[in-house]
Amino acid sequence: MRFTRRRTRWARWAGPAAGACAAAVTLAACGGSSGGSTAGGSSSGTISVVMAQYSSKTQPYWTSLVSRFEKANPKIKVNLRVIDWDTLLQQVPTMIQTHSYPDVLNFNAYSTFASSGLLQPTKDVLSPGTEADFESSFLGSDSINGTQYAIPWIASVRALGYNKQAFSKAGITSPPTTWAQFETDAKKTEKAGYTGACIALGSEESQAEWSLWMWSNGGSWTSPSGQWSVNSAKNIQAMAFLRKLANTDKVTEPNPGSTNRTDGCWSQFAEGKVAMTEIMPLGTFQSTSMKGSSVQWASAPWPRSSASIPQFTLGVQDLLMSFKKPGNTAMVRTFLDFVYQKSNYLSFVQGEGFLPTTKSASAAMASDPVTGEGIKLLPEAKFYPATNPAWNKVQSTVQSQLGTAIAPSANPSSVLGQIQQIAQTSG
Amino acid sequence: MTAAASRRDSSRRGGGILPLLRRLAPVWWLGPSVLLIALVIVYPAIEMIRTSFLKVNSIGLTEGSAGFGDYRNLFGEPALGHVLLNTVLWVVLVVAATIVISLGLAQFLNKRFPGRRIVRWALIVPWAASLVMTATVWRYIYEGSYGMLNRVLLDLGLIHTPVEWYQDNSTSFWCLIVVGIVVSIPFSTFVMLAGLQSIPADVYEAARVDGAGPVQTYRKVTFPLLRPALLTSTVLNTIYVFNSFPIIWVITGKLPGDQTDTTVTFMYKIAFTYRLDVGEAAALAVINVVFLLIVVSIFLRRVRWTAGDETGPRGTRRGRRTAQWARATVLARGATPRNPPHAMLARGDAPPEPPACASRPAAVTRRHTGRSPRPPAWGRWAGNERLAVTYAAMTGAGRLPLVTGAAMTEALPVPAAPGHPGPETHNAKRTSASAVPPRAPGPLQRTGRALARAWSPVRPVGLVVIGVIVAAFFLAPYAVMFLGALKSNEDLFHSPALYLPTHWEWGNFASVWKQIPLASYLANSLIIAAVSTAIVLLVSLPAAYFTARHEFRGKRAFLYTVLVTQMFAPVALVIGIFREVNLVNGAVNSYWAIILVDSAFNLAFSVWILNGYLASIPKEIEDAAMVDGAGPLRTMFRIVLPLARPGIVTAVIFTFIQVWNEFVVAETIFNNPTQNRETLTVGINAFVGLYQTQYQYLFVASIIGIVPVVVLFAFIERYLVSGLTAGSIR
Repeated sequence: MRFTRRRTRWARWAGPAAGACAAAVTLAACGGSSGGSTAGGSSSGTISVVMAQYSSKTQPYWTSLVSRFEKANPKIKVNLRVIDWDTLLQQVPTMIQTHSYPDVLNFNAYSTFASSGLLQPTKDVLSPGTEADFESSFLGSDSINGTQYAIPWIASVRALGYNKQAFSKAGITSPPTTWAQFETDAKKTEKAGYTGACIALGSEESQAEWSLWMWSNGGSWTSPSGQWSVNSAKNIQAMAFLRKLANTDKVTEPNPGSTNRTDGCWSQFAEGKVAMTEIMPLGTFQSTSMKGSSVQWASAPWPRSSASIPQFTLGVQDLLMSFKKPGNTAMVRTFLDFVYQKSNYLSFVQGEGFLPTTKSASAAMASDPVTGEGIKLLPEAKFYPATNPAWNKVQSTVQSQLGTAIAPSANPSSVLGQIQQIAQTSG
Repeated sequence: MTAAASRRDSSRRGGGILPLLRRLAPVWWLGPSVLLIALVIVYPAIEMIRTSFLKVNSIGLTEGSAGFGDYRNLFGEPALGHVLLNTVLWVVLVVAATIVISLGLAQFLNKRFPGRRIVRWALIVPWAASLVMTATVWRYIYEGSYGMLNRVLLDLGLIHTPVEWYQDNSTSFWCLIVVGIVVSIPFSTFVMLAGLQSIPADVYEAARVDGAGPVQTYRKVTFPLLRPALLTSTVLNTIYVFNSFPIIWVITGKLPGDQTDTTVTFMYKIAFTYRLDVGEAAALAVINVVFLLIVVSIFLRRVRWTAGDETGPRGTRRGRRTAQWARATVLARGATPRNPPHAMLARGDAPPEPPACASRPAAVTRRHTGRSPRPPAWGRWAGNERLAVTYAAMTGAGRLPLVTGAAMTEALPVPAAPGHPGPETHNAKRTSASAVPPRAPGPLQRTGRALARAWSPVRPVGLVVIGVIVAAFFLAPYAVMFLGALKSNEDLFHSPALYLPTHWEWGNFASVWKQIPLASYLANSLIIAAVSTAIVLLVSLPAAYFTARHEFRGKRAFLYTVLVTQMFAPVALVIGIFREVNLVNGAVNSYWAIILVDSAFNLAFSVWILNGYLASIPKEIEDAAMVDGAGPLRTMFRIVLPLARPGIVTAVIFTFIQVWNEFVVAETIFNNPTQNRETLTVGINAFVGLYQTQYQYLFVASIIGIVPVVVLFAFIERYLVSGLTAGSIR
């Protein structure tokens, strides 16, 4: 099975979560709530849980967890679906539009749902012990107006991955730290028969690749005052640099605008055809994308346009959230407490090779050589503007549009301007 | 005449004992159909128009009126111009290429050569297979480093580095157009083949007697008589191609940007992936529907026109000689079924009673003598002006138009009844007609004869070779699918692509059940298709019978309404359906909602085909049964339904296949994996994605989805053939 921070094809059979009513298997649940309806909700009934698939291990993990949970809590039935990421990105909006909310959803954006009043505050669905265990660095981006709606699930960081054989063949001794070096190294490796740089602006996760380039030029998604700045001069400049690499230097793969990471850059990187690309210096990258590959590779901090821009990493946080549905609160709390039990949570994070978001798991994993490195990077991590209510829409627009900006015939500032306009009108 | 019969007659005249009840009769017979159409087609259309003036937010809540805001937003879309251009290119190029290629192919398939049947079967596969599955395999073919097309082109030395066909902006749209053409060809070819085969042999004979050479025969006889078939397939193809959704959606739907979108996929993106603005999408949908209405009205006007002036001025315009030949032929054969009663119904005219009656005994006689025991196969009228009407009836909302059954009956070799030379024999003769010296051979004719002379010795081999190439071309994607289904992950992503698996992974057929919830997909598709088919039959049979047997006010309106519903593929109304389903509590992701929608959209085909069959059953047979003492119900079940069985079987199978292959509606309103609510097409599309697509399992699932459909086609064919040779009564 292929790699991925999150995505293998296989999970889609879990789809949009069921309709509130549809989700409940029993008629009683349909009747107006999942079971009874005391203040905190009933502790018996059915909840629907939609989880994202990160690898081939995800489905077995959840199947086993749910069966253990149901054994321990015989009054609660869990309708579990594990859905792979690309399907999830398309289905969550449809699910929301049809008001078919799941009780628990694993997703990467929550602000639109929270600002529309669809989510329940996390303090209601987590017991105090569980709530206290999260690393505080994550909580800021999970709260809107002081109320936390999203629960940190897993995290990952991004870095520049490079093929050591390609570098030595091209006579490069150390990884690039600036854009100028990056461009030179890409040209050298291209000459040596490699794809100098693989840029993934396809719709899978172009917001990640783009964030790295934008931030490394000192640009940003939003201005310090919180206004969207997608088409700022610095950002347009960053896109111009990518266009130069792709269209003038021709040191990238043929169609960066429609290339994704997993089936594009990473599989080419694993085949030894790509010299440099964005990777996740984590266990999951090694164990899936690079599995069976003979490529000697290493990772380095992302190069910046000038040395004055501080070194950073992109931190990506995936979330759990719970939709307001009559009578589900107590059951959701029971379920989430079970999920975040140290042994259960640790086995997920370690199995998938991600960074943990709880203190107890971080402490337990700090000694792991690969993950420990990642955990150390977290303090310098920058995150998406995930608390902005427009972020859901901006993210999906970036995924569906940004890739067009790099085509030779495209007008990059108009593409960015369009995204900016959507961001402003959605906010 | 028995009392029953006389009652029926008097009822037709509108007098009788219980005039009120009788006047209300249409309500009971047609009510269910009307209700279904109103509920699932008319209401969503209204709701869609309403929505286009509402402001709907990204989580699907209505925030009040938008005035013309949705339309303003739509026209402000920077991509709109590009999308409109794409739409025009898509429709024009696909339809034009399809028609030209189909015309050639139909003429080729009209010739007799060994293996012709296999070639025709090869053509059926892309037609019967779900577009989602076909598009999936084409996507794999178009892939970059591990794509099959690249492997072929590299081997042929045509390219030196792999091209990312569907990802590259400069090639992606052309990739889609190729697939669009390939999947549209079978339908058009079968329509034209039916047209060709329905040209009576006698016409050619007459032409030959008059000394026409092959070129002249083609220009003066074949082509004019084929024109209705050409027109029909052009108009219907325009509608299908315009509504075509899965090809674009599956192959390039997940790429960034809107490089390959047509107004239909763009509408879906606006609603569900990109703007999440159902109001704006509704505005575009309304514009789409207006366009469709224009095409449909052109079509309907044309139908009325052609159907109405059989003996009118058009006859002269077309060339007096052709008309004379045709008339002579009709007279010579004493053939009457060229006046299918239901075609007249389409006009809304009362079938003139005397001629209809006169024609019936002839038909009965022929059945009894066994000279030509063919049930009314609509394809036979293909050469007739009425073809358009008939085909309109037969062609469904989907890509698998009704003509299927009909065209197949005609197209597949039917054991010709003795003493009834099939048109094929005749065409064989036509080829040799060049031997007859034309009166004054022009240069064109001389060239034609020279070509014919050169061709005739290689002809037997040449036809077979061409046949093999054609069959191979149409089957190739499915061969790629089959071989892909047997590849391991490593083989599948091997660069360059491997033709054959290095290791035949038969285990894929076992592991697919664990990799994807295939059993649930199949169960859902089966339940939905079976129940929809049952509903369609139950609702359409009374309507078809009543319209076939009775005259009443509103009949014409009813049949036209049904015909119009046929033109709107569900995708045209999907926004309205989505809104409606969301208004009804518990309808989203419920079986009954999708079943009702699928039933409504497939009603038209069934009504029209059954109407045709029932109308062609001589009323005298029924009357005779009544005389023998059978009650109306008994007559219905023992006499009428058995006679209409080929029509019923065709309607059932066709409906089943249409529903089985349906994608857009299921994707939108029946899509809840947490409850295992996904059909096979939706499930398969869910596997096609941004990341590494596990094609092998998709292909396994596709093969499991395609094989039954092809077998059902085989079943229609066998049934019809045996029905043709069997006697009509007992």
